[in-house]
Amino acid sequence: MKTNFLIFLFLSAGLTAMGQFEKIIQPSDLKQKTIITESTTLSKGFFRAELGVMYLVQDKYFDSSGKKQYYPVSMWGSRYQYTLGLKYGISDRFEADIRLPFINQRIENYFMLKMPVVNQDSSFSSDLKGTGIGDCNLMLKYQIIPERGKRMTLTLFGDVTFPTGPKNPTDIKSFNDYKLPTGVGHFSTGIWLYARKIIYPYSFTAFMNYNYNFWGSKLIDAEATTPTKFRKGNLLMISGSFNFHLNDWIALANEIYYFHYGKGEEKNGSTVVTDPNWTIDYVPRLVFQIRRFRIYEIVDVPLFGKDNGADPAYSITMQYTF
Amino acid sequence: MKSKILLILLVSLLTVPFPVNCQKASGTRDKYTLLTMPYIQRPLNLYKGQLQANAGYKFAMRSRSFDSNGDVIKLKDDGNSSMLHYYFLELKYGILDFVEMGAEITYSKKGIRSETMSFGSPTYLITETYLNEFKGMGDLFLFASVRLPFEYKKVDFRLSGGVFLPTANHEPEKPTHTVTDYLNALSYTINYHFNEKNGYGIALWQASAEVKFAFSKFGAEVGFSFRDPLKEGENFRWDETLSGQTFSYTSASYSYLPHRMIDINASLHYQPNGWFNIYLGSDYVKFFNGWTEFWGLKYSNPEISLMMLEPGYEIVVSPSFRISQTIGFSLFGENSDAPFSMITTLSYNIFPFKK
Repeated sequence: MKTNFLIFLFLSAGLTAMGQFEKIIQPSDLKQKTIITESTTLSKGFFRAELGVMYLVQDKYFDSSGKKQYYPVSMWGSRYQYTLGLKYGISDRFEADIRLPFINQRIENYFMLKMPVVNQDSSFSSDLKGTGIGDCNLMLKYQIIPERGKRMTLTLFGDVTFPTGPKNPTDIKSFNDYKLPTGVGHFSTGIWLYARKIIYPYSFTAFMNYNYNFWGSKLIDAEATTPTKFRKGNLLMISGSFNFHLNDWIALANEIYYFHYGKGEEKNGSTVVTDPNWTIDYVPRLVFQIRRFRIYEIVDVPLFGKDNGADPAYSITMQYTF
Repeated sequence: MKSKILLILLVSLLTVPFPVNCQKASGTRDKYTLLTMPYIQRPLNLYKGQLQANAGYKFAMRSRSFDSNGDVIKLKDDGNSSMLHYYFLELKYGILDFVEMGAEITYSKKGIRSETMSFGSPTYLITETYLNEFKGMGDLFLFASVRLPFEYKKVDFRLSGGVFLPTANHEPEKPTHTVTDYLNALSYTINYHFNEKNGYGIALWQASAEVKFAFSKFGAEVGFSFRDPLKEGENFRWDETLSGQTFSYTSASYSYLPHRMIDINASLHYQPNGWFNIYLGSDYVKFFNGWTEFWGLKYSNPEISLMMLEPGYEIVVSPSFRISQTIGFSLFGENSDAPFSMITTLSYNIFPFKK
C-alpha cells in the first residue's frame, strides 16, 4: 500500500496544480504595451525617445466660404519637420516631455512678365529656403484619475513653447532672395484635459486644449525695416478618437480634431487684425509595436475649414522605451 | 504487480506529461489556413469561395517631369509642383480555384498649375494664372482571370481580361475663371480654372498575362498588360470670353481616341516568415497611338512612357486583414510626370459561404 501511495505521489507530480497566484507585471511588459493598452503617462523611471519626420506641402487652402481651392499662382511650398522627443516618467502618474524640432522648408515661385510695348520679356524666380531649429516645447502630464482596471482615466497636460527658432528672415539680399525663419517668434502656453476609456481591444479618447499665445515682435517680411508687434490668435482644440487593435501588435487609431484659431493682431504704426479661422481634420494613425519599439504612420487630412491650409500632412515617428 | 501496472497506467493517463504522437491530418486547407497563406504559397487567383475587398490610397508628389527627350524638368523651380490624391476600391471573388471575377473603381484629384504670366507696360498690368483641375470618379473596370487548373506549388500562370465601362463623367464642367485684384480696367488678375473629369468617355478592353515563381523563401512575379479603346470618343471643350469682370462660356465638340497602353511589371519577393513579405517591384508603362481633334484636324497625342521602381511590403495582420505599402520612385520616361508616390492598401478577405 505504501509503495502504491509513493508511486501515486511520484506520478501525480505532473498534474497541474491550481491555486491562488499573484500576477507579476514585469517592467519589460509595461514597456511593450501598445497605444491602446499603455498608461496615459509613462511609469516611474521609464524613458522614451522618439524621432519623427513630418512632410507638408502648400497646394490647397480653404477659402472664406469654406471651399477647398488650389493656390492659383505658380508657387510651391514644402516643409519637413524633424522632431526629437524625450519623455520621462517622474512618477507613475507624472510625466515630463520635451520636443526639439528641426525644420527644413522651401518656397519656390516663378512668374513671367511680358512687355509687348517695349518688346521685352522677363522672368522672376525665387527659391527661398529656411533650415534650422524650430520652437522647442516642454510638456508636463499628470494623471488626475489614474489608470485602474476598466475605469476611465483623466489626465491634465500643461505645456510651454519657447521661441528658440530664428524668427526673422536672414541673409536678405532682395525681396526674393533671403533665408526663411524657422521659428514663430513668441511664447505660448497651453492646458489640456485628456480622458480615455479602454474596452480591450478598443479604446476611446477625448481631449480639449486651449493654447494662449503671448505678444511677440519680428520682421514680418524681408522688406520690413522695423519689427512688427504681433499676437497670433489663441488656439482651441477639441478631439475624439476611436482606436483598436488589428492584431496583438498593430493598432489603428482614428482621430477627429477641431482647431479654432482666434483673432490675431499686428501693430506697426497701424493695427491689422487677422480673422479667426478653423479646420476639422481626420487623422488616422497606423501603429506597429515591436516589443519596446514602435512606429507610427500618420496622415492628417483637413476635411472642412475656413481661411486655412487644406493640405494633408504625412508623418512617420519611431519610438523606443528604455 | 498487476495492480501496480494498472495504477501507473491510470495516473500516467491523468497527468499526460508525455506528448502523444499519432496520425495527423496533413494538408488540411480550412479557411483560416487559406486566409493566412503566405504570399509565396498563394496562387495568383483567389481560392474558390474567397471574397476579397481591397481599398487603397495613393498620394503622389508631382515635383519633376520628363520632357520628350527624357530629360528631367524640375517643376518646383517653376512653382508648378502639385499633389495627386488617388483612391481605389476593388472587389474580387473566387468562383473556382482557378477562376475569379472582380470589379474596380477609382477616384482621384489633382490640380496642375502653369506659370503665372503678367503682361505690362508703364500704363497697364494684367496678370494671368492657370490651373487645370482633374477631379472625379474613374471608369468601372470589370475583369475575370483564369489560372492553371492545378494546385500551385512553384509556378503559376494566369490570363486576365476585362473592360473599362464608361461609367464616369468625362465631359469637363464649365470653367470657373475669376477676375481678382481688380484695381481698374488696366490692372487686374485673371485666374483661369479649368475643371476636367477622369472618365474615358468610351469603353476600353484590357488583356493581361502573369506568371509567378516561388523557391524557398523567395518569389518572383512578372506581368504584361495591353489596353485598347473600342472606338473613338466625342467630347467638348470650353471657350471663354471676358467682358469687364464677367466670363461667358461657349462649348465646341471634338473627337478623340484615347491612348493604347502597354504595361510590363516585375517584382522580386522575400518572405522571411509567414506574415511578412517584402518586395522590390518595377513597372514600365507606355501610352501611344492616341489622337485629339483640333479645328477639324486629328493631331497625334505625344507618346508617354514611365519606368518606376517600387519597393514595398505586405503584412498579414489577421486572417481577414492584410496591409501593404509601396513607395514609387520614377526612374526614366518621356512626356510624363515623374512622381514620388506612396500607396497604402488594406485588404479584407473572407469565405462568406464556408464554415
